[in-house]
Formats: sequence, structure tokens, C-alpha cells
Amino acid sequence: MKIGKISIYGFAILCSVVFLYPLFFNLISSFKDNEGIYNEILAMPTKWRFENFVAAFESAKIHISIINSLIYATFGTMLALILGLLASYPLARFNFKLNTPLYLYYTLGLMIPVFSMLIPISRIITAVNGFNNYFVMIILYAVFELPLTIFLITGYMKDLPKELDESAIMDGCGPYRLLFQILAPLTMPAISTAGILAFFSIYNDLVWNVLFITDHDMYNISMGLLTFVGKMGTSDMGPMFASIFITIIPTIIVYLFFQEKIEKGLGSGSVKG
Amino acid sequence: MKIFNKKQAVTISVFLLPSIILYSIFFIVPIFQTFYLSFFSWNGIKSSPIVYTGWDNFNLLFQDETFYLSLKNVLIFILGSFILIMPFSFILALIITSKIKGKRFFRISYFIPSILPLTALGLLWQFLLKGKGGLINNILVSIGLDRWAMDWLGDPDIAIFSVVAVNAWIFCGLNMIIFASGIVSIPEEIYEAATIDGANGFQKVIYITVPLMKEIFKIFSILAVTQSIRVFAQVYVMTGGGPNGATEVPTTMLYNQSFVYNNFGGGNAIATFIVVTALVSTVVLNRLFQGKARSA
Repeated sequence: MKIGKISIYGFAILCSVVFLYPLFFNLISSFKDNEGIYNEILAMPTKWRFENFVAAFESAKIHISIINSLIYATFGTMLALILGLLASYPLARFNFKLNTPLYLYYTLGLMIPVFSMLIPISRIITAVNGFNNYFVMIILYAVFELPLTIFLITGYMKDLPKELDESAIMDGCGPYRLLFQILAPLTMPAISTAGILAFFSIYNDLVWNVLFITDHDMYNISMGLLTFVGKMGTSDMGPMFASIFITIIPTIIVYLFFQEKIEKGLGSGSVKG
Repeated sequence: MKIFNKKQAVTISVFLLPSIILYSIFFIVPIFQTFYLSFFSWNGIKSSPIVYTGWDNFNLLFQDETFYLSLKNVLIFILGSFILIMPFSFILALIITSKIKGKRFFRISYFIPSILPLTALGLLWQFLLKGKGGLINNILVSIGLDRWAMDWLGDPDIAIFSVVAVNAWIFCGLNMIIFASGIVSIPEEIYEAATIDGANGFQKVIYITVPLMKEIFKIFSILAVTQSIRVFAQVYVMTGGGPNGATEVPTTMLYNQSFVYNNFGGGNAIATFIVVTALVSTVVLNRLFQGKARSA
């Protein structure tokens, strides 16, 4: 019995090491020079090179990339949620002829990988000269998140009691107030799940930023990192590790603050998607 | 609900129109353009002509060895989901739902990789898996397994397995949460009854937990397939599809054909293939598993 318990703890700890050690390795390497990274690979840094972080900020402008990722993710998520809420209300609360076909139309997007649209979308962006444009990126990101957002919110809103609407309308409540003041607060679990999923997916985006952003000041974290690594090669790894570490810190902090919400959101979201 | 009546139509349109318009322009129409443009050849330059070539793009694609390699690689991703992610996530889920101390710490430490930016993780692992001076090889050498040290991402024979393993490392935590939600929904009384009947921990897992989580395993299976078709960033960042196309998956092939080789016709043919495969596999898998659930 005792041996069983010890081996379970041993295995649990071993797994933690497997998942956390690479991140810890990243942290200590971000204070080293090439010599230390290649030769004393497992050791703590002998000299703590804070200039690696200075390089990550000054040369890679990694903080600007983080701010950009936050801008894309925040506004993209907000737009997706607003559009999704507006669409979900009639889909969930009204009986009209086009109800089911429209719902299927939106959720069709759940089955289709967004990569398949790379070429047509880049044709549109070229046609409207939409490169290096926050507004264009935010609309694109929001639209790509719409199918899942509408799927989650409509599904939840459908199950709220119908009497809510009826009594609200009796009291002279208009459709906008009904949606935003009565239904939306009750739909909050689904809205927050959809919001978390959209936020992470936009924050971590790679391909759309690669295609449509050429201005260094508008790079998101993926582009910021890839460009920096491409430029530096392996000549100086310290600043590269520093910049990787800086990009993962905000995500870890956000996760630790909203641990349960994020786990639930990502877990249930991927199950339903 | 005839209270709005005439106004109702107006209300419905006002609520639906913004999303319908944007979603149609930036999602649905592009998909049809993908289909349509896969019958044309185009080098991506605005002024150059777009030429109708019939089924040529598809014929070329189906003769392309890289294409079959990319399908094989997707298959390896799917197998990786079942061989690596499924058992490990399930065991991790058992750990974090057990009565072990420090549960919260374990839960967080297993989950963290699955929320971090894929680009950052890809770059990190690219270094860890380096042939010369990478962490993995260094560890292998230091524990005396020199023979096992290899160029994990540079050797075409093993590169795809390295990428699949990293992918498993990233997403185990997320799937752990999915399995854990299934485990905690099993009523405690069943386990208590089994304990009285003299079942040990292992028996309880095999005879109670696993059978009662059939639904979750079904969902996992559907996800394993549909998500493997979508894999992109992990491959793009770590290998770019190389060395020599060895780790190419359909999505990176689409990207490389279109934006590296400027073969937009070929790119659209791959994109069409991806859409059709994704749609068919989602529908078929859902039917398959629902049918089983109904007959059971």
C-alpha cells in the first residue's frame, strides 16, 4: 500500500518535471550567453546577463508585440462576442422559418479549418489594400471565432426559460434591453467560455499575422519572435530565450488568476467544438 | 411569441445582419472561392492572368509524393493522439482527481503548456531537440545513452515523430481537463460499493471509470482526427515542413505551395482537399459514434 502511494507521488512529480522543466530551462538560459547555453546546459548561469532582456525589449521590441497581441485579442474577442450575442438572440429565442438553416449556416464554420481560406482571404486583403491594418485584422479574427461563439451562446441561451422574454415584453422591455440586460447576464457562463477560447486563439495566432502584417510595430508575439529568431540565428541565443520567456509570462499570469475559468472554458470549448 | 409580430421581422434582421454579412464575406464566400480557384492556375501577382486549367491542379496534387507524405504525417499525428495523448492525459486526469496532496500544483503544472503561445513553445523545442548542444541530447549523453542522441528535427526519418511528441507534450494538459471532467461526474457511491466488494484501485479504474467514460473517449476520438487535420503552427515553427518535406502536413503544404512557391492553383487544390476531408471526417465520425451510442 505504502509503495503504491509513493510510486503515485513519484510519477506525479516526474510528470511535473517533464512539463515544467523545459520552461525552467528557458528561464535560466535567458540569463546566459552562448557559452553557458551550449556547454553548461543544465547549470545555473554563472553570470546573470540581464542585458539579454534589454536586447529582447530594444532589438526584438517584444513588449510591443505583446501589446499588439493584446490589442488583437481584446478587440477581436469583443467584436466576436457582440456579433455572436446579437445573432444568438434571434436564433435561440424566436421561432421563424430560417431559424434552423441559419444556425447550420453559422455552425458550418466549426467544421472547416480556417487555413483553407488563406488564398481567397489574402486576395480580399490585397484588393482592399488591407495590409498592416488593426481594423482589418480585428474583423478577420472576430469572424473566424464567430461559429464557435454563436454555437456556444445559442446553445446555452436556448435553455433559459421562455417566460423570461414574455414577462419582460409585457413590462414594455424592448429587444435590445431584453438581450443585454436580462438574457446576456444569464448566459454569462457560455459567454465567458466563448470569450476565453476566442481570446487565446487570437492571442496566439500565427498565420494571419505572418501573411498580413509587415510593419514591425504591428507584429503580434508569433511574428515578433519568429522575426527576431530569424534575424539572430543561433549567433546569440540568450536574448532569444529572454524574448520567448517574456511572451509566455503574461499568459501564465492570466492563467494563474483565472485558473478554473480558463481550464473549464478551454476544456468544454474543445469538447463542443 | 406573437407580441412583436410585424416588428419581429425587422428586429430579427437587425440582430442577424451584421454577423451574416461579415461571416459570408470573410468565411463562406472564401471557401467557395477556394473551390472555384482550384481549377485555375495563378502565380499570385495581381497583374498576371488567372488561367483556367480544369482538373490539372488536382492531377498534379495526386501525383505529388509530398502530398501522400503529408497524409501519412497526419496519420502519425492521429496515431500519436491515441498512443501518447490519450493514455497520458487519462492517467494525469486520474492523478489530479485522486486524493493526492498538492493536486492543485500538479494540475497547474500539467496544464500550463497547453495555453502557452505555440510559436514560443515551438521555438523552445526547436532548441531543446537540436542535434548538437540540445538539451535532450545533453541529458541522454549525461545518463550514458549516447547512442540515443540524434538530430531529432534534422533527420528526415525521425523528425515527424519528434514533432508529434512535442505536440503531445503541449496538449496532454488540455485533454487531461477533458478526461477529469468525465471522472468527477461519476458518482462516488459506485466506487464505495466496489470497495465493499473488495475491488482495488486498479480494478476500479478498469471496470468503473473507463466504461463510464465512454462518451468522453468518443469525443476524444473525434477531436483526435479533426484536430490532426488542422495542425499547422507546431510544424511551421519547428521544421517548416522540412527537412526535405519530411514533416509536411496538408496545411504547411498549402502554405508553402502558395506563399513560398507562388503556386496558388496548387495551394487551392490542397485547401479544397482539406475542406472536403474536414467536413467528411467530422460528419462521418459524429454519425458513427452517435449510431453506436444509440444502439448501446
